[in-house]
Amino acid sequence: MLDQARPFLKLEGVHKTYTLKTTFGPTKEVKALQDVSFSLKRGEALALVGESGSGKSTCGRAIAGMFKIDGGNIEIDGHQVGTARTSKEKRETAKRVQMVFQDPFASLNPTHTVRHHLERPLKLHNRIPAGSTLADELEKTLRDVELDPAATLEKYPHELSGGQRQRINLARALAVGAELIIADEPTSMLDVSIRRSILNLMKRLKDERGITFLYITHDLATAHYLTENTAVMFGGRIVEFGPSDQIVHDPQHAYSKLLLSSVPSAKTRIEADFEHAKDFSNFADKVRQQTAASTAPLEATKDGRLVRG
Amino acid sequence: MSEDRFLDVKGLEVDYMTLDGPFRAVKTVDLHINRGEVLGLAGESGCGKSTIAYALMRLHRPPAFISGGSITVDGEDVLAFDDETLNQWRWNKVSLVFQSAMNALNPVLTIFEQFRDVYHRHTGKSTKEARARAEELMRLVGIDPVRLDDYPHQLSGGMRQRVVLANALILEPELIIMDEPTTALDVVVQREILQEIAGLQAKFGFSILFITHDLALMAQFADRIAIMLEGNIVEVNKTDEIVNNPQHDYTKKLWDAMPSFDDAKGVA
Repeated sequence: MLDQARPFLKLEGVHKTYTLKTTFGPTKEVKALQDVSFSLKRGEALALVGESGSGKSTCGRAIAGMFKIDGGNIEIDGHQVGTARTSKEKRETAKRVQMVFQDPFASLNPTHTVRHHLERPLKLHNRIPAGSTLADELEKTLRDVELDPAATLEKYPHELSGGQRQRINLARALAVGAELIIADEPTSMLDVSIRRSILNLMKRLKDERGITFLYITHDLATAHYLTENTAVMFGGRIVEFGPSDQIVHDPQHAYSKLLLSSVPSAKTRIEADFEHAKDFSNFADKVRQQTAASTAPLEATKDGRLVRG
Repeated sequence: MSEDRFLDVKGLEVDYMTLDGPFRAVKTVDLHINRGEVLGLAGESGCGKSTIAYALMRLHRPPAFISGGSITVDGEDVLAFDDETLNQWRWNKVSLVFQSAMNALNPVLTIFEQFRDVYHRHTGKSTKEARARAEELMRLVGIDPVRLDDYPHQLSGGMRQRVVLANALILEPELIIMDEPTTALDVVVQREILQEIAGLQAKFGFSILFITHDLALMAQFADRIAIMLEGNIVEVNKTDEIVNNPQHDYTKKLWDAMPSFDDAKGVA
């Protein structure tokens, strides 16, 4: 984090609180993001890891500028998020950041072909260089995501498998010319058997095309596979930040440890013991409560990680 | 474990009628589960694993048909049951935990009403007795019985999955079919539920058919694992063997498809 190069993405003290108005009873406040700060260099990948409701998706959506944050600052390549006013500025923002969502079945328009989904961004963002044609660019974009253009272009989303659809979603982001792709659980609705191929595709886009990734997941194993750094989130706050390798092999924060110990592994057998069946659950609750109650700041450890006390 | 086949499936075939003729989703499958055993059934979407689960409970409706084979549960021929016998048999002997707890519960009934419906229908006992049984089950899965009067949307995903599990236990079945019981949950909650299922299984000794596409998860828990591909079971063996010495190419491919912490990192 002490790198001299300017980070491509920078968050400083980002806050977001949702107010829930219930029909009866008092209004409830949910602190979705509390003092979230991190940065990400161009061409690198960062994983945001945490359980449902930890604020990881909210964080991704804030960076994509999908809502106004309540406090703090988000900058992408030196441009503050949420300040675009003219349509030209908005197009430029879109070029910097695109999202890929969890549900590949809901994120494509069922009434349009793949061609339509990719042609629009290419035209809208003037992505057809001199000497090239729209057809050339379409083909190039599909080849980038390892799909056969001839077989795919005229198909509708329902004719594609989940993995293929997720490839189209990535292709759509590439068609815009996105430099940062926020992938919100892009593999969690896919079969285990095709998850890896989507991860490999993202990895290739990162390594060969220099695309920056913010990878949102609850799966530490895939986070470790794709990213240089990992931020573990709980209750809207980052509880641990550091190199993914260190976090999966030697987690420091109690919540990171809990998350890691929950990842299914063929090597650890689950004890069938009724008396102690609730032990893990009770332990998990205890860690959650402690983590939620703690207001300790993030502190740097010897090996350069940030851990909340 | 000694061979004591509680469930024995021989040559099972299930067809779906389509406009292009029948599509065989399950192709001559042999499968058995011993008393008190946990059998894992793994495979990708569309391989027919849920179709098998539905066939075992005889839940298929047209255009799906069981077109061949036999299903024997505790010595009884399930395919020969008439409707009334079937209704009594379901949930008593074999129950089913569906993948999505959100959809498996009726949103307009309280949790207690869902317990009572099953209990009353099968045992004819009073609401008061149903209440006592429901409270007992809620404690068993670790939820405060006060929550019985809540509606499903008032519970978290993990709690709903526990409720569905408790509901499957209500008549003390001898086999529980679990179709991706933890897929929609995040990892920590998934582990909590799995630990609890293992505990309940140890206490009550029922058999489990555990269906998932996550081999690692299954290996933590199952005694034997069956691997399914395109309607066929391509490999069945003890968990140890499937983990350490997979024979079929597809089993190896399934293992390779999952990133693990030991993977060399391309970006290191």
